[in-house]
Amino acid sequence: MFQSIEIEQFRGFSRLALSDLGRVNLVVGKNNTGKTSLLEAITVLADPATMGDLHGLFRTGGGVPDARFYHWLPKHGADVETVLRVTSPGQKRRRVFVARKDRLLSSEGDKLDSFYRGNSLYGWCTAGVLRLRVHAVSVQHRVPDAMVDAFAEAVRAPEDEQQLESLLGAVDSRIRSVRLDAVAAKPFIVVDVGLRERIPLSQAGQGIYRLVAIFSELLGRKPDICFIDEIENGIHYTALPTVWKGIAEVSERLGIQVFATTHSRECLVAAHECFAARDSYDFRVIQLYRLGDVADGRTLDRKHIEAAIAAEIELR
Amino acid sequence: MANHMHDENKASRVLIVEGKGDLPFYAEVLEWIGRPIDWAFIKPMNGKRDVIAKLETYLRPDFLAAKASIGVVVDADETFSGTCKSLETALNKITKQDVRHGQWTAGPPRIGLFVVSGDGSTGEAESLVWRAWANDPENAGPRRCVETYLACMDGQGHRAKSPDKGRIGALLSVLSDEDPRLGPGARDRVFDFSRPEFHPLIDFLRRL
Repeated sequence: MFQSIEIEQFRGFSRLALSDLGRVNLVVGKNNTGKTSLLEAITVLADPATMGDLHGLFRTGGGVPDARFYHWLPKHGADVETVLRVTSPGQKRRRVFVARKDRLLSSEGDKLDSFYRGNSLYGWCTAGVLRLRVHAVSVQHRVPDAMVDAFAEAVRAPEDEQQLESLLGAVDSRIRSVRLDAVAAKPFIVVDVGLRERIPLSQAGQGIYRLVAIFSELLGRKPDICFIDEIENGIHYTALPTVWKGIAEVSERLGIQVFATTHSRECLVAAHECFAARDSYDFRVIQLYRLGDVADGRTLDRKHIEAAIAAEIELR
Repeated sequence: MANHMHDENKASRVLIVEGKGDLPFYAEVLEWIGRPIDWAFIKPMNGKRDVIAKLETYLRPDFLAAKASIGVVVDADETFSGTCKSLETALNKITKQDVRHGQWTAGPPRIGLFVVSGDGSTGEAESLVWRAWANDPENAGPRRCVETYLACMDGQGHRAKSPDKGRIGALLSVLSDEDPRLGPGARDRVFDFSRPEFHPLIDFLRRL
């Protein structure tokens, strides 16, 4: 689990240092404060080899990585390099460097492996770091086939299947079970809502679709790190406590670190109340903001989250 | 009724007060000193409990960078010196400026702290207001009535948790026909802000 992250010269961040991260982290901030950039930095830290695919992971439009995504170095100055650092309890030091071709300034004493060679930028990381599995649940990228695969994995173990159905049943008591069905050898997900036949998941409503997507990703893929973009999207506020309860239980049981984004105060309060009711308050808010042209941020612990809620201080 | 700017993001001046009950009182004071409605945003912290954590959360760097001045007004409660010390230390740490009770820093942003007490050692906004009202010779008669009422209740075994809040409540329950608290009382012009007891607070707020 990442305990702290340092980002230098990466997209809008000149320098961002976040410490005291939690098992579950809710990233908040106005538009254009660097939420997606933070998720991209964490992705590269977790698995540097994803750098070449980063452009398609969280943003629409794609493009050539060098041209579209790695122009931050020229913006930050001629002789700078991107440095990403992370500390994880009991784990090997993990550093990522991105610089213009052959212009790496400092390896900070690390033995390095090369992981990216683009047209104008190269990337290196600490040699021998474990590649962590990262998955993202995005509202923008719905890929039904990928979701079917994740769902199939999620219900492979009876314990996971029961947890998924229990969570969905807590949100909508009509839901009795969720299964895979197929037409012309093409699988799809169906839901038993008490009708004569099960209905396709796509007809069960956006909220249920979203919940199945989130928990299939967590239970099925069992990533080391999971991103959930705009977690409240499509989910009624009354269901948010159940969603957070599920995320808390699954992430703890499977050792997944979660980074979710939101623009919803109700979502933030629901998350806080969920974790406050648990034995361990393993939840943090990462608040991003802009200082002039520069993105910056901080981690808020329980004391400050409670203070913000009590004083109705805007965190989003 | 005096009001305050509703959009804290647009306001260049922010006045932080303890609770929602304080908000209308300080809005009336600002109106009394001639400040227009949109002159400052008044932010209540919904109680003094964990006020330092609330200030640490509210006064984030981009918020500080966007404001011209930020004033903090809190009650002294049990200890004026203790409250001054803890708030000064916290605000110094948050703003990286030398914040002192009753003063404004050079900024940016200009930061001011005012700890309200009745007698300079303990008390709250009600203590200051009661002291100002009770010291007015014109109020000598009604003052005795309020004190007699509280003493009578005390004699019956019902002591006010906060005597000055009790005095203000008893006073306003007669002189102001609404919610017997400072804000509505100020709106009904029960209090004379030209009294010398108010001068330090008024001077502080003029410099916001």
